[in-house]
Amino acid sequence: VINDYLDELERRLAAPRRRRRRILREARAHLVEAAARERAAGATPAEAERIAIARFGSARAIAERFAEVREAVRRPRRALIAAATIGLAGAASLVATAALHDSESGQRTVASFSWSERLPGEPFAGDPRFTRFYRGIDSDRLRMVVTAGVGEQRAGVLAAPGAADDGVYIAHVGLIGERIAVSGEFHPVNPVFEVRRGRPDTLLGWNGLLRSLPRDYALVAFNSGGGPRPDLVGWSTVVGLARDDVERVVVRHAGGEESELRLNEWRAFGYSTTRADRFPVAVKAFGDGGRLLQEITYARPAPLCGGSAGPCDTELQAIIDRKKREQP
Amino acid sequence: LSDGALHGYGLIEEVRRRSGGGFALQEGTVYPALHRLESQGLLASRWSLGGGRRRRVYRLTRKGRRALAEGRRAWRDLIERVELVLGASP
Repeated sequence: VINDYLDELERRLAAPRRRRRRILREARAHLVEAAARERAAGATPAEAERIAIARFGSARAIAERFAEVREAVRRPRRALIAAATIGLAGAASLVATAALHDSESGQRTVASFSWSERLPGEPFAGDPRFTRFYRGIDSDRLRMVVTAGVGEQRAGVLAAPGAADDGVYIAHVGLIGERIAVSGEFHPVNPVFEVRRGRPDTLLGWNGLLRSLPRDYALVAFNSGGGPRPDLVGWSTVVGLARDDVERVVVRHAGGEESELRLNEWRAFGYSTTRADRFPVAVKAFGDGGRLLQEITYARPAPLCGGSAGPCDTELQAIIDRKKREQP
Repeated sequence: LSDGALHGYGLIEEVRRRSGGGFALQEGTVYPALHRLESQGLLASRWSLGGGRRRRVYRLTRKGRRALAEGRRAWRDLIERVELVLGASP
């Protein structure tokens, strides 16, 4: 299975021979190691390879990412981190300005932040528990707070400050076990995607450093998942914004089904679920005439440890034991 | 990588561990990112043999360490501001 995958990746890689060889060697080393881990956790050899490949990502997606790197290297060099720092500072300043402004004018809630529609049976933003997140944000200054995905003790936030019409800021906050994880991205593009100019060459934070987006993208989307304990996965969410020429956004679920996600008034979409068979594994944007504009695939959220993820370290095991005592 | 050289798989495991499982990365996307950072002089890499396996190991360059320090400062600043906006945790 791994060999077939690497054959496909090789066919799709647009890179000089030497670089292609290096990429394939790295991919093979990764897949072999990941598959060995799965086998050690009890998977059959074939299952282990399939899981390792699924987590690695489709050959097409990986080849596209490498093509972007090649393109970026060809362009005049820019200091990624330096640019990222400027972007972060800009985004932070916008958010902070909104907060400070609000503290002067008193508590307000954002005028609207819920979905135009939710999928039946799925928990969503609009849940009163989460509305308090948005207090303290001045709706006059912050053009969009478009969604939240929910899980037990968790919330995802997608915010798009448009005060300066210069970008989209996406923040995600989640409670995982005992820790709070925060990540953010700043996209230097028009916040409502009215124009296609602007290339998000730099992305920020953990995800930014580890991800790159297609240069001419139709969606900005953020996927996250987690569970009530480090050894369990219980929720997954995806939130995002669609460019103005996107007519339909479709989510593919882990079980293979697909559902259309309605765009709200800000062309935002979102989906959140606690059902494993409904976890999002891909988001697709369709344009005029049903033309596929972009597909973003996601790995299914995996537990931090336990089962196929391998044994839990002492710290995580202590959290698990305590959670079990609290919530048997 | 600030704590030492790592290969791609090890880096993903470390991110997973440190993030408390919060970042469900598509693992293969880490490599293009590493290659990009290397091409920018922020990382250096070499092949290494460990546990009977040959792996490409990455380390931060001096330039990378400087960029990391700068990025960390900006990141902490952002987190503080986001927390100001969001208020209490759920």
